[in-house]
Amino acid sequence: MPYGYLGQNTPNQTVSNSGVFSISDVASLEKQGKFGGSLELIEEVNITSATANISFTNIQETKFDVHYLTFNLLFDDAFGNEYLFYQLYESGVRETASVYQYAQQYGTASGSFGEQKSTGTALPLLSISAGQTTNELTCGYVYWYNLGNSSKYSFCTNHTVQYDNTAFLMNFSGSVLPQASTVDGIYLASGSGANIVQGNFKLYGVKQL
Amino acid sequence: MSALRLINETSGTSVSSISVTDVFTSDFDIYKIVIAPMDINNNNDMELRFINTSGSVVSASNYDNAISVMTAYTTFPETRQTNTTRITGVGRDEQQSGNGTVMYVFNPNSASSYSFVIHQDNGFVTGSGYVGYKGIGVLKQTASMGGYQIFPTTSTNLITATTRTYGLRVDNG
Repeated sequence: MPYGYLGQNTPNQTVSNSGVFSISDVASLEKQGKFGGSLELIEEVNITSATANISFTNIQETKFDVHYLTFNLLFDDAFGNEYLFYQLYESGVRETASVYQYAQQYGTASGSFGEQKSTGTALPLLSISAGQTTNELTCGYVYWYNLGNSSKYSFCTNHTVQYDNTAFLMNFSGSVLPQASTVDGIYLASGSGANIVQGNFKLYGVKQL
Repeated sequence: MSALRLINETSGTSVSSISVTDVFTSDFDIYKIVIAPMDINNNNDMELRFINTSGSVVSASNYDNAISVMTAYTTFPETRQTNTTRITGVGRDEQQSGNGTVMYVFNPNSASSYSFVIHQDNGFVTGSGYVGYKGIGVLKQTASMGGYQIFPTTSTNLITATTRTYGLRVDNG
């Protein structure tokens, strides 16, 4: 049965169509990935008071090959040298051992550029530092690949900007949990033990057919 | 509803290349391409060439590219090429460990603009460890492109991958 007519100047209609869309048309086409947006919000976390860490434990890893996280956050200033890192849950158990690898390029608006790397860390970085006072939000995005694929490693890339006291910094980096396992959760926290006092985290699945 | 529109999903298993045609149109100026998972049966980079609107792969020496390579195990190298036949390093695999690539393509269907690419991707080097690429590329032709082809550096190698192409919706008014 044909789907509703899209009208002119619409992108790449890939199924036959006639007439307007019905609710059932939309539901059917959304299931095929041919209607609507291509980022599916899995979970949003808002932080408004001191929180030690965040865990996403319903990431729909069987549905999505690629996960996308956007974030902005503010740590408290009790510890200094705050930075954001992640760890992954493998079948419900968080991998906390020094088995992650990462590499990152960072740059500052007022200083030098540099690189950091490790072939054995428990704290794969998502930022080079982090803001600690009002208006010094750390903002960025992260992609994770193959989390639900038990025969593949779990890869990550990200790009982050941050304002730390007087320095404006950026970093882009990548990392891997080099273990062929099913990952079903994501943990985020400060590497120095600071609390997140303000933040917004949106985890999406990148739609596929 | 996000402004990304899934246009095409194409997979290949143990093939020498994957071609995606008729995805770049006047409907969108910017495209997002996500490749995951991506395996190569031997140590190799993944490369990209554009396919013009007639369906021909553009292999002329009209590509420039540059990559900042980030490794977990040694000093970060750089790589760059001008007037070459491909955009190199849009993926990397050495032990069929998975991999993932996100790239953006700008103005590929425009007949008055070059076709630009930015990409970030990663892989795993056997015996060494993690490697990440942050790169740029351009096809220096003012011609309309309709699609793209991905393939391993070494032509005898085979790839297994899924590539998804999205358009970034633009609303007028």
